[in-house]
Amino acid sequence: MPFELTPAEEMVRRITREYAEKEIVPRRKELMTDDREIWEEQAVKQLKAGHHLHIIPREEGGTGIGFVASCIAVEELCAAWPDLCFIPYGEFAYYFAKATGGVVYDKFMPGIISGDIQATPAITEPSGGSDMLGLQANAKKVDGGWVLNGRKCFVGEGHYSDFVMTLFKTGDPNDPKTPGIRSLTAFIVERGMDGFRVGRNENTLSRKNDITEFIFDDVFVPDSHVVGGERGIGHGIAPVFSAVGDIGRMTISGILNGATLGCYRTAVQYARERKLYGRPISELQAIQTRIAQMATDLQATRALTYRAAWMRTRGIRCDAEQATAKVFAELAATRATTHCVKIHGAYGVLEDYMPHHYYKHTPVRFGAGGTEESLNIMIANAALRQDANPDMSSKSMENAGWWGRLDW
Amino acid sequence: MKPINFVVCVKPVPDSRYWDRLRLDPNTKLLRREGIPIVINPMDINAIEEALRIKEARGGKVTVISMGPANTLEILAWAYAFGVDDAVLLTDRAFAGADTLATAYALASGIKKLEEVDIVLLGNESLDGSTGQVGPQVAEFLGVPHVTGVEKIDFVDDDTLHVRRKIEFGHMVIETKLPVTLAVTGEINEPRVPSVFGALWATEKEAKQWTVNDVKVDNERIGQGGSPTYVPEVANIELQRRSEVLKGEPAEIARQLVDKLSAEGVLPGA
Repeated sequence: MPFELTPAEEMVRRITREYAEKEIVPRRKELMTDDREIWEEQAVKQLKAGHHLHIIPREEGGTGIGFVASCIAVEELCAAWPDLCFIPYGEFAYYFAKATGGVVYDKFMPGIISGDIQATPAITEPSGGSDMLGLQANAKKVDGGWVLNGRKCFVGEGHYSDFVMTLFKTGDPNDPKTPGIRSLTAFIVERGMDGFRVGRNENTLSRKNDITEFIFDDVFVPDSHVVGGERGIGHGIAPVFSAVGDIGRMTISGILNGATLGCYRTAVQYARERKLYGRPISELQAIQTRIAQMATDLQATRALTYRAAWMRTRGIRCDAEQATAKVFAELAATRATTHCVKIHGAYGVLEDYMPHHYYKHTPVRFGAGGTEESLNIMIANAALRQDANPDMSSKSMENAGWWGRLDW
Repeated sequence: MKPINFVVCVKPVPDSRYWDRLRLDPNTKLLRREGIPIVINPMDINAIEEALRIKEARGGKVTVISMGPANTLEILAWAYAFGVDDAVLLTDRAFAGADTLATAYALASGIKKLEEVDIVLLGNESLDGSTGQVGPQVAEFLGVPHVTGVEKIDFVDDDTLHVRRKIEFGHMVIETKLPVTLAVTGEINEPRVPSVFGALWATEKEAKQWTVNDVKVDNERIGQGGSPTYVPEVANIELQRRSEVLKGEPAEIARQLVDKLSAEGVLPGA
């Protein structure tokens, strides 16, 4: 296994870091006081700059460098500020357009490449997200399309989205004709469609107006907007799971790794500059232990994330690896942000210092891309079905089928 | 509008993020650069940016040129990431140890090998040496006019420029014909962040590497042998503080203070 980044991936890190140091770092003071302006600005700028293009093949207008590059770009942006990152929403837009094809692909693709279009998945409902069969939102077939009714919530940056991919019930899971998950279909719903609107924005630990609610009130969606076309009716799980795995879980891992990286950089610098007993605290072994643990977690979490991303770029089944990466990224970030706060002493909790922000943004990602609990079920299932590949053998990886995979 | 062909001279300098690791070699009197990442001299990035902006408006070509050991290719890759068309590295042991004159001679020899250059751009001075000499010297070797301290470039027509040059307490506007060499300041523009596609350009485009055999040079005038200047001594400047408590009535203290500062020679006109 190659244990180094490709030259292009290294260059992606440099370019994204340059972007973050020019665009985000000088404005941290504004961000610390929850300034909306920079959010509005970055929502446009980051995608205009094309940071979401790495997962899009070159023949379709992207850079085609791959999923590892995407994780690196997310990581660098989030090291600068732990959640100011719009890459996932550009990537989702591509993923959904690609999965749907036809008029949806043709309509949105130019805007996706130019960075004018964002999208987000809207799966979770007020009653929950992990229990797919418990979803309440339903779609009724009418002439030429479907009529959607329901509510979706906890959607990250949903109010910026130009369209969403959402999961609705098109049948009864107890009906033998549409058994279980065959009762679920994914739809593309565009902003501006009659009856589709943004509900309330929720304030989180991270910031005000962080996550969005969507309301679908008799929304007519044409047949062309069924993800997967006619074959997609009753097959909504595959695109949803693929998107949540490939984009959601990978970028959330990147976001958490960004917090870990940011904490590591901040803590190392602070430990070298802050003096106690007449010498830098970096000379105290108690501080060195914390730095060492942060360095270990940073290396480990990157290795897991990059490997899952590398497998995805190669088209190798990696749902269990993506889950592993996200679970570990969460643990690593939780530990690293704590170390960072503690190394900074009382300064660590002040709003004017970065450790405060890395620390409080981390839990916001606990649920996104799947909770630790539900991901552990996936990991355990893979292990118990003997689908898991802890030996990292390329042979067994390529032989494995992937039940939730889109075939493109 | 006539397309403009640019050559931008870029210098590798130690990354300022690692300056705490820089040491002076007491024997050679040079900076010890081992283990310290190099970057493009910041003002040279302003020069690249200006060339790219004019090229984007008028058409043309931007070539960067540098001189140094093989690791200088790293900074040329970064120049490709910005979007330059071509890069050339003068690399040969014979070029090593050059002062500004020998450097400018070598760069000018490389530039002469490139066809039809309209504007040579470079940073006004480097972050490490800060002599500001290479620009004018390159221009002399090329036999073209030069302007230093450039903070704005305007085209009057296809062959004439109005160049604003920064001077103390103001600026001059200088009219010049092409070809010309311009040494730009950091105020001329705000350099872009490289495009994400820069990651592809940087890794897929390859800089040309020229040795002394590839350019027409007089071997007596390059490298250490061709350098009339050398550094005989370097010294660390140590800043020290002294404190003294003055006593008495305020007016008396003020008088004492002025007398003492005058005696130290730190009052203007004293």
